[in-house]
Amino acid sequence: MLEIITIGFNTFREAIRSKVLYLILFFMVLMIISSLFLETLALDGGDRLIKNLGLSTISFFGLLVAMFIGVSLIPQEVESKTIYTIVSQGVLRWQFVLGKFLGLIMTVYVNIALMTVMLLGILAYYAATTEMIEFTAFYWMVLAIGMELLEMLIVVAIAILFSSFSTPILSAVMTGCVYIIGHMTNDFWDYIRLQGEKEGTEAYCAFLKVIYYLCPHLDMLNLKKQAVHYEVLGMASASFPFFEGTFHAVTYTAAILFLACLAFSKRDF
Amino acid sequence: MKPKVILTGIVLLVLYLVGQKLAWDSQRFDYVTNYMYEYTSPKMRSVLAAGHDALLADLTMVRGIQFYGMNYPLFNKQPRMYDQFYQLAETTIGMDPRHFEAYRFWGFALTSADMGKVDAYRFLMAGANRLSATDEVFTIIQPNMWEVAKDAAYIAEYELQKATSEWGCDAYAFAMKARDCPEFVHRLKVLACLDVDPDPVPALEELSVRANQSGNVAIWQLNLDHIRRIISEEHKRFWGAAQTAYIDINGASPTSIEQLTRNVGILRKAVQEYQTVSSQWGAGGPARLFPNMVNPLPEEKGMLEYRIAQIPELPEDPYGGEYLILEIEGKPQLVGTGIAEIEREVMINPLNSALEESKKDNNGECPTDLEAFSQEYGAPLPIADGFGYPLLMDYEKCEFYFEPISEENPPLLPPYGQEEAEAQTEIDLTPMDEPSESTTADPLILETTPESDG
Repeated sequence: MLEIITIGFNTFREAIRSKVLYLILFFMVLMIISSLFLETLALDGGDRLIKNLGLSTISFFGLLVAMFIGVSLIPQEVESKTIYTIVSQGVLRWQFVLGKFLGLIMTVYVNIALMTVMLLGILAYYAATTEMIEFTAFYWMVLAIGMELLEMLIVVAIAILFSSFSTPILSAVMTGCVYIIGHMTNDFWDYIRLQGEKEGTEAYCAFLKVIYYLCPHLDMLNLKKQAVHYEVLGMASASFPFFEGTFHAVTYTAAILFLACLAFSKRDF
Repeated sequence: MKPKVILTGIVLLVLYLVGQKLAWDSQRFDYVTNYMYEYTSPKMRSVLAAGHDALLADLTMVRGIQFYGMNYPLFNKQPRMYDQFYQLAETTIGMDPRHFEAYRFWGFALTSADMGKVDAYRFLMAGANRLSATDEVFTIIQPNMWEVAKDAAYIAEYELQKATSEWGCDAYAFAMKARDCPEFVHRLKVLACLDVDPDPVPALEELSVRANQSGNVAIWQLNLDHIRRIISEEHKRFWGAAQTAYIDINGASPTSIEQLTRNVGILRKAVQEYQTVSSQWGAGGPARLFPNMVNPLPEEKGMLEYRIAQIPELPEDPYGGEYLILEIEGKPQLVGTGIAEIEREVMINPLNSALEESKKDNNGECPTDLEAFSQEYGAPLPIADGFGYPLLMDYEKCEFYFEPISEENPPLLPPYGQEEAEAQTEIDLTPMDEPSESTTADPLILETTPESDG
């Protein structure tokens, strides 16, 4: 366990020195601040524009961090041959993979924490100046960001999985694709349902269902729309599968990390 | 630096600027079209948004607002512009079907085009339907949905001038499904639905039940006003039939209410006429008579009840007065005195309060110069009441009053408000102890001072 934490902190230290991270952070800040100017163009929809832009920025740039920093973490160690030093000191390969995951998720979470403080600050300022935002809005925003943290668990785990056996560019592309597919699962299910209504499609539907169950269900963790709509519903009327979402995120991440450890343990340097 | 390099640089710069200009020009005129057809459908865009569809919907709405600002005067002349604008609306709500602000914005904006009024109604009603859909995520009807449905009703009633009378009624009825729907929408629904089915009973039932249940004085009073108005309209319908029957028989208009109420033949005809009309209401229910209030002058928040009149009952003024035929401006007119008495109170109470104030300020003396009094206490003096009875002043009691309304004493002046501006120039507010020529000749005098009697 100590090895995982040590590698995690070292990865985190390494990541926060990356210029790419600061570039991404700069654009995140720019996007969130721009919501203040954009809201003036949205008539009565200004508050929801700030919320949606903030939540989307956090999610999208979290993905970019995972894509551009995460996918190069393991190949970089292999390329620079530092992996030999680490492995020769008795660190097991799965510990190395989990350490990298820990370091990357810490980096992403610190970014998200910074953005959350900024977004809530802007919302508080907007609430104070326009009186258009109620307290429940902050509650739902924090919950939506909480769900994004879970989403990032899966995305980072996928980035680590691809980087454990593939090149950085390919890993980045595949991570991005999985992110998009993960957000299409609801539509994918609709498609399967429609196909199921046709005759003679049983085998095809069974195949599609296998793919469906293999995909990460990032839609389940997407509270962005509800965070805006729930504000008017009231607490008692809002219903979101928090438990199912959390359970899915944790178990799916664990499964992906298991595969990543397995892939890395088979890899020849 | 070699001249060749500089020349190449200049050529590239010029080409770049030309390219930018062309791109800008094409975007300026067609950017919405490009934007719209970039993807195949709103649904496809929603899928490709990868969970960020709410944000894309917001940005599309911002684009829609800008497009509206630039192009709305052209909607009637260039239908293509309107189509593009409508497509932006569809795109926005395709990505976020619960985009409340988008429904309200496009509901308003589409009406800028002549062809857009029906679209606006349908767009808003579709929105109200989507906002009221429930599932495992949205467990209740969105509480502010009523605003969207109310906007739809507004378009049906005012923009479309009730061309399809069911639309307004349906939209208000739909708005009432929302938890936060305010009481005024219920009243609007009752009135809109009367255009669809003139049967007053459902409207009276709903208004009286809601008033009795609400416990709110303002709602109770507003519903009472509406109940009185609806009953009054039904009475007009009955009296109208009676007057027509009288004219058919006598070849002249009746000049007193007794000429109608004491003639059994005329009343029978009026009853038959009303019953024939009432049998066609709703689903063709049984013929019946007009409604009367059980208690036309209820105490504040008292029970509001009505009953359907039975032969030989006559209409009872829902404002607590009586029905008379008054000769107003030379024409006999059937009037209810109750509402006139209420209006008289509304006119006189502030004037008498001002008189009280004036007395306090002047050691109990009644003002003699009413013009100065009117200006000093900000109490404009009307010339006559709603029927044309002049405003009078009793100097002994120091209060304003109107003469009692009766057929024997018809009003002499034009009703209040009709010729007020003209009359204002003629009024003489000098008290009777300093009579002038005009005050004696002109009926617009404030009279009955004790001095003049003496």
